[in-house]
Amino acid sequence: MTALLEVSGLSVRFGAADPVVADLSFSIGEGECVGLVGESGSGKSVTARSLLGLAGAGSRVDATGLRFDDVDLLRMSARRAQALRGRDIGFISQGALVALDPLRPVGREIGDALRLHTSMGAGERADRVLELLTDVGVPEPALRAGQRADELSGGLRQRAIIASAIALRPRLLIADEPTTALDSTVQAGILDLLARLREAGTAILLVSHDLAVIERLASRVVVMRRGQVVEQGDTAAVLRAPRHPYTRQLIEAIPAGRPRGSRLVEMNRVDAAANATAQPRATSPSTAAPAPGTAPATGTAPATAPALIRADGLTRRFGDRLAVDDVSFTLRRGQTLGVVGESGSGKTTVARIVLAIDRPDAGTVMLDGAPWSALAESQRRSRRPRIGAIYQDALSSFDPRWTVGRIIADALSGGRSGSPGPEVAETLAMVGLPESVIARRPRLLSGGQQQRVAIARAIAPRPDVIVCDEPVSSLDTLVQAQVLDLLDELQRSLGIAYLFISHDLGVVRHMSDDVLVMRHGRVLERGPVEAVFSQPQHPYTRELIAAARGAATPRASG
Amino acid sequence: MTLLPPTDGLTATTTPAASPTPATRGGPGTAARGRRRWMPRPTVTMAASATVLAVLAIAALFPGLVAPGDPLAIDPSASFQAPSLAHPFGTDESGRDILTRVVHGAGPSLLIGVSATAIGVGLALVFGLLAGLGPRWLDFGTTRLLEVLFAFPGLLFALLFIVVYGPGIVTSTIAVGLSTAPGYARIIRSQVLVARRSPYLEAATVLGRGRAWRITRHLLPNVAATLFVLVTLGIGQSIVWASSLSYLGLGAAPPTAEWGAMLSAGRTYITSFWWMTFFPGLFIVISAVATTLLGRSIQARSRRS
Repeated sequence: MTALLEVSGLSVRFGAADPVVADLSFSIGEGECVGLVGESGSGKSVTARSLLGLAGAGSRVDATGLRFDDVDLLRMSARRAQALRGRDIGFISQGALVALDPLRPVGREIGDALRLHTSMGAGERADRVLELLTDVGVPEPALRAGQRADELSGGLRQRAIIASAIALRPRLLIADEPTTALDSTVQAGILDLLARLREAGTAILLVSHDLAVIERLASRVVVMRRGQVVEQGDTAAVLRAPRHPYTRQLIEAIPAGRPRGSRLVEMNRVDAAANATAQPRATSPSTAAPAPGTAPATGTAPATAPALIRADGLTRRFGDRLAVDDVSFTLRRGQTLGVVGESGSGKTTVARIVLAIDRPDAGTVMLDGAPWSALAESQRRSRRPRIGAIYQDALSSFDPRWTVGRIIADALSGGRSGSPGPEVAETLAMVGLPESVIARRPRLLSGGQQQRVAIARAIAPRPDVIVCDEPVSSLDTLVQAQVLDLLDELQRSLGIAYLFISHDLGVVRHMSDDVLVMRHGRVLERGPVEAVFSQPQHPYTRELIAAARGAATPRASG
Repeated sequence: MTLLPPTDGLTATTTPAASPTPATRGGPGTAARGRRRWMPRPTVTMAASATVLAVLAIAALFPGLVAPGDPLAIDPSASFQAPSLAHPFGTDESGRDILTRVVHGAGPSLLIGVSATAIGVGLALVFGLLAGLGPRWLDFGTTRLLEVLFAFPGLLFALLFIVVYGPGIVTSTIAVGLSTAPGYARIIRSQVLVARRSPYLEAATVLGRGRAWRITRHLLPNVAATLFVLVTLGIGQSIVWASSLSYLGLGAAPPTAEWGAMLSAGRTYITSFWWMTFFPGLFIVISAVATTLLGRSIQARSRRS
């Protein structure tokens, strides 16, 4: 089989800086899917875009060979490139929220590709658009074609983008994080759709930081790190027996199927093995976790621990919509209660009620046996330090004018002014941040560091419980694993209870003692996490677990 | 207590700003980095406009230092002299030295601009904060009032005010302040609303901070940051407006050494003795351009970072 796309010695650089992609080679045959995996900044998206001639302003793309079918992609004219894009090479970008024109119906948007590249008449085009929407699994295609992007859910928008990408039956489809930020059931649908396209002979280049996604679709995988290929080969073989320590670390970072309390990232492995550059260490490595890899201490606190938060019959209504409907639960001291459900299931509203930044219309929250949600804010204030919070978007939860040092000093001070002492550095050290971040603004830190600052702020007042609302959803697998390890470790050392909210079943299963499954504001199923996941009672839980099943990635045996 | 090394962001990121090399950790390097971020190196535009404004400020505060003469001293024998070594900017119809008058006029002219802006921004702060922080009915009422005021073209509103209260420096200053207030108030209100709904205020609530604390520590400083730029941009505009009113004879009256009034006095002779209008006009333009450029470059910088 001759390859449809041949890439050899590809390098991309911006200005005089070091290349962001260096000496990359791979090929894709017809009906084959190749996965490109790596953390953010590893150069995988730039690679995908440079194949389309869209690497960006100021970029320089070099390659010893860059061939699509019979066309030399490096030496073609802009006009030829434009004809190639859309007709022969389809592109699915990751920003489903922004890639569609907000002012036009999606049907027109999809029809554009047909209008520009074919001689179809208007009626013919409309028929084809409906056919495409049906193909990608959009219910009621005639209705949806007439709606604008903001009237569609994230999953439908992503399907509309896929429909426009495959409108001309391209022979190669480049998909850049096609399912990131989608709920797991929606994600499963999109992956099934891509699999069907692959069966029909479309070649797919799948870019993702999520190995589980790659595993479901790609027959071969290219693992990238800092612009370089560290490993490539047959997906099953690479996942079963990764040769490079970085690949092994990526695989181990997936929380799904990992028992509660086990570390996701073994420290220093990649850095020690793969000549990683000198990284600043906040603390000496000898203080690291208790022997990584040893039998984890499951069940951080006995199930009989005293109840810390007791929610009873919580109900919250927004207009006609019942966002939270009769939700009750108990969170015990030192334990983690996971809340899982799709977007719109009411998880975040529950979190806001527990944090008392929203009031329930009915029902109460008790904190440590005393009233909490029923209190007036002035009475509640003195006890507020007992409940902390970390959010999905850590950066927006910081005052943009404040430095990291001031944020932490403020959280430590409890609202009284006073000069910050050495506690600031100590608190930052507890979350693994060096002293050098004190003088910096959070927006100059990486996503993982920002979330660490948020965690430091949350633990500073020594809370009994922290409400974590999707704390790792916007992070890469590897960074996510490190943050989860940190939360787990802080729970053991400080005895903090977590109300842990996530749409990711693997993450919730790894972190929680008990779990609530929510949908449409109601709790459908509850119980100890292993019981719920191994013997789900409710059909919806089964559906969720089935959708996420592909995420249960085989473990590296070495 | 066990501690984790900070491997995540530091390995994940490729931006140089986010990955400190070991050499910059701790020690004097850190302090220098922190300080530089507080006081970034100014751009050429910023430095130039700040210098011009500093010179104007010296002229306004200590006019005697720059031009020791008396701005009102009449010398009929030396009237209408073209710019020369003795009179670099020439003289006017009564033989007064125009350079001296321009220098002594800097004080009143700039004072009018600055205090008009202060009045405008002060009023706007009251209205903007009331609307942004108050209950919904108050926001509704304030916003409608601002919309009514907006219906008047700014300068027309100022003229109306002067018609009612009579011409003069004080009334023209208040008039300019009043007519610029609605614009500022709208911007302040929207800034307050953005800050008020921001996740960082919510985070402060969760930490147990009271309303007063949240407003003074988080909301006002963040609103003030945008306000600072608005004010520098506004001063230039106010100077021009105040001068226009003086030119129309509604502000400072001749023979006061004020730029707008000097323009007005010189306009009868503009075809024969250009310097009488040119130099006061030049200084109105210079001061307006300098404040505007300074405001713009500060604005551009805060957008970039």
